Amino acid sequence: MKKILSAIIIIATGLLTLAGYLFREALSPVLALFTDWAILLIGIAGILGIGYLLRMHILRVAKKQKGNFYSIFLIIVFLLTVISGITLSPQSEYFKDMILNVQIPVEASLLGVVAITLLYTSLRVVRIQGWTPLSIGFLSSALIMLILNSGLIGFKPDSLAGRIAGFIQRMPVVGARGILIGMALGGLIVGLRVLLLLDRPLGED
Amino acid sequence: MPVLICPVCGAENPISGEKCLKCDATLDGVTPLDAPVEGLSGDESLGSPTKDEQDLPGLLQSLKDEGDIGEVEESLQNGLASNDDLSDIFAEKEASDEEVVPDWLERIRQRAKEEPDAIGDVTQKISAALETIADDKDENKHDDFQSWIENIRKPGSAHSEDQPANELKKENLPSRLSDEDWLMRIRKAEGKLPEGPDPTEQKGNSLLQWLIALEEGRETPSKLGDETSAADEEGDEFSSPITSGDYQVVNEQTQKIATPFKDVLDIDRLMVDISDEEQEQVNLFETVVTQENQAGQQHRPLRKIKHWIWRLVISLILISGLTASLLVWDNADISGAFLSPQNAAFLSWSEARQPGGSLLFIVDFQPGYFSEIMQISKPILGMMLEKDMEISLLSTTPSGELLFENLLAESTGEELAFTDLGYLPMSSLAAYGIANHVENELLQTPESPIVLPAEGYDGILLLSDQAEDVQIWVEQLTALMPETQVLLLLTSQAGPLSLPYWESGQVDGMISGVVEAAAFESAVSGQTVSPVGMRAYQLGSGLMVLMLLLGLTLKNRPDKDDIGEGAQ
Repeated sequence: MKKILSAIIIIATGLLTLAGYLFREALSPVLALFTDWAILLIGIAGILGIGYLLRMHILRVAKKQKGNFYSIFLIIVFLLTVISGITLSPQSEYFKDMILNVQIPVEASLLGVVAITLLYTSLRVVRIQGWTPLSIGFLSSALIMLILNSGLIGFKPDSLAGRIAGFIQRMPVVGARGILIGMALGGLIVGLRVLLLLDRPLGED
Repeated sequence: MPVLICPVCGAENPISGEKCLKCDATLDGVTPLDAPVEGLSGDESLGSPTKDEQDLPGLLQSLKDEGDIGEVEESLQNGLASNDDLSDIFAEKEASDEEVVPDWLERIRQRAKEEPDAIGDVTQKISAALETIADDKDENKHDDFQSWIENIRKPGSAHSEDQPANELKKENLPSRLSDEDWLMRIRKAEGKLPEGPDPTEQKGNSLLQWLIALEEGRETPSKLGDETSAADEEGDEFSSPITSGDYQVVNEQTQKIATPFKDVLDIDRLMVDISDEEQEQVNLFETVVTQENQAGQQHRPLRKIKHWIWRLVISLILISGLTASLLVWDNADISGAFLSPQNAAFLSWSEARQPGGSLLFIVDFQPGYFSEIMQISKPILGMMLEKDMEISLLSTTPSGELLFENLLAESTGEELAFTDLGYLPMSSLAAYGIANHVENELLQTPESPIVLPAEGYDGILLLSDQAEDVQIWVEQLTALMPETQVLLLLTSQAGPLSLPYWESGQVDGMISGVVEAAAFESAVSGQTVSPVGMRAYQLGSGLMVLMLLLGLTLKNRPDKDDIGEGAQ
């Protein structure tokens, strides 16, 4: 019974949202209500996630597990941010500077580390697997895309070289489209299996 | 009685034999020796495993029926009762055997001469019977060992202070194990046994002494490498009485490897009865562990230093190169840069805007991409602000408002006012909401009711770093608001996958990446020098290409660590 109720709610919400594309004026209030509920639920999920993360780090500190220093640091910074955000408000210049001057450099540094790690990992692919068609294709495409996107070589768009460069730059699109077509076909097959009752995602009841 | 002892397996063979009865090895050139113990071959006297213990009852019964076992049992029982040490049994038995050979033994020998295959089976069964009887004696051995430990632990014990450990060992251990065995005699006969006392005895380096010294703090566990080098210098050979030729081969391979377990192995060999196969496995394990440790100690520091130097060099090249490009060489000529069709369309759209119009900016990128987005959006923001356009903001990242404020400040050098429509989590939700005139009631305040207007803007400009988010925005907006112009300002990673939306006409203009932004800025302002950071970006890309090529050409063979980690 529980599963049937869940299925009814899910199907009704999906149908209403789909109908909102067709009867926008009539269903706009309902869609606004759904949107607000979704925002509310996302906010609650965020609070739960923060609480879970905080609990995990507090337990790590309490049990004196390995790396508890980082947990202590995280808890202190978290409390500092929360307290300053509540007391100063997000519109405070000090609070804005504190957030951006930490968040932007830290995230940018992480992206730099990711770039170097990807470079090293791609080298290890060749070291471990040797020269295979996959590794050759992967590394040659990485090299070509790096050179083309670096701007070191300029091509006139209407020239032959420019067209070749444009063709190469469309190759990721080809792969992505292939993946999307595969996903669409997979979704179609799954939908057909559900419609024909070959699969029952919500159980037998 | 002289016998020929096989140099391969150690089995006794008749003096007239040309090949070993047990392993079929040739006996040419083997010096005849006196049999150490009558009725017990060398390996049996050292306690080789009883392979046919299941057949013992039958054998014992048959021997009893013939009346022979009675004599053996009687003599052994008497020996056990009169003497605690097992060695006395063998000594007594050896002495008596030299004088009078029992009938049953005579029959066995006769049978062995007639049937070569019978000798091993029969003698093994007899030795098994002897070992079964001698099991009780093993317990006494253990008791003796415990008493040694207790005596050692007692402060002021006579054993621990007055009596050397080697004496203790010799006194308490079974004499059959401390006696010279057949292999030692072979070595003596062949002149392979080193003259003089055992080097381990010279050093007094028995396990017992070592343990005592360790407990009293007089000695510390030595490092493997030091001991190895010391052993090499002294020519210390790990020579031990062995019972198999195969073991000798293994031993020759490992003899130069001195290990901290050396004395442990010595004492274990004396105290524990192990088979040849087990001995080989021990040696193999010891060799593997020792070589692994030696290899690790020899190569790991060198490899670590090598890796550390490589990392340091690469880091220095990267940091110094990028810093220099920012400070010194940041003047790339971009006069020859070409505008892509999507960039040209963006430029046309920008120039067509009338003063006083309105724009909606959607911030959908992470703070890590702030620098790139700033370079891309800077010329556009400058143009729009020159035309005094009204700007609204909707963000799908929590820090979107702060990022856009900084973006405006960095682009124009002053703080500008804009209408903040709030924060909507998730791109799909925000796109759906804005396209359906959803009022963002959660963000409304009494002072400023925020409603998402979908119409009335000259264009919607999306600032994004993910092609997936671009897909959501473009597909939702163009499906629900086909009359609204959508333009994209993207990072270089989101550009290629978003290009089809430009080609399909769903998007009215697009700029992605620093290179396109530089070309756009050059076209807008007419300047021929690249914007700040352009050289650094190009140099970084070039360094990445260079490192890829170097990494592929310098070392393309997998090393052990790579394979191990890859397998995991």
